[in-house]
Amino acid sequence: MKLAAKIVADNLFVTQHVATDWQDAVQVGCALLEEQGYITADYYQGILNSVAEHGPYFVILPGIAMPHARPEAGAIKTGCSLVILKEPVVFGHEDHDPVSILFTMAAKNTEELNEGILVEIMTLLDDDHLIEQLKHARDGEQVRDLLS
Amino acid sequence: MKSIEIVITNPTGLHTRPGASFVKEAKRFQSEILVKKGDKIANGKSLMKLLQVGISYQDKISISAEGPDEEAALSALSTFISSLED
Repeated sequence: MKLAAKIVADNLFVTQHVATDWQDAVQVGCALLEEQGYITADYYQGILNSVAEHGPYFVILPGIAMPHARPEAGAIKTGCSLVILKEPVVFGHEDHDPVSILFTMAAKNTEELNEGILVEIMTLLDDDHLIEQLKHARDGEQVRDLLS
Repeated sequence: MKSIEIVITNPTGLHTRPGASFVKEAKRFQSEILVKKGDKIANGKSLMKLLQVGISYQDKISISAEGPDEEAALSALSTFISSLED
C-alpha cells in the first residue's frame, strides 16, 4: 500500500495538536507508531539520543521534520506517522525552524529506510501545494482527502 | 563539465544526515552539481531531490559538476563521500 494511504488506513495521524515543545511533538508521533506495532517504547529515546549527538538534522525543509532513529533503536515495521501541530515548535535547526509538520519514521533496516520510506516521504513532500494544505489541515477528514 | 564515479562504502548509505551534509558541501560551490544512480538523476544541491534517488551501501553513483569551480567541487564531494563512516 502506498505510504499516504497507509497513514490514513492505520490512523497514523493527528491534527491540531498543541505541543509544549519539540520533544512533546516527537513523543506524539512515536505514540501513534507504537500503538500500531511499528516501534517499541525505546524508539523515542533513540530519537532523543540522535538529536543529542547530531543535532536536529532531520528538519529537512522549512517547517517539516522527519524524526527517526536507527533501526536497532526499536523499529519493528517500516512506516511513519504524521503529526500536524496547531502552533509550530522550535527544534533548534539553523535554517528550517519552526516546525509544524512531523513525519516520524521507522525503518526495519537501512535499505528500507534509504530506498523505501525516505524516497516515499520525499516524493510526497515534493509538492509545495500539498505541504501548504497539510499545514492548515483542521481535522482528520481533510487529511484523508489530501492523502488519498 | 567533469564527472567522477564512486562507490558508496558507508554501511548506512546516503541517508538523511550525510545527505544533508553532502548538500551543504555542494552548495559551497558555484558549479551545478548532479548526482546519478542508474537512470535516476538529481540536483546535488537539493536534499529533497537527492533523497528521492535512494542511495545505499555499495551503490555506484556518478557525481558531475559544471561551472567555474567544477574541479574543486568534484574533489571536495568525492572526498566527502569516501570518508563517510555512518
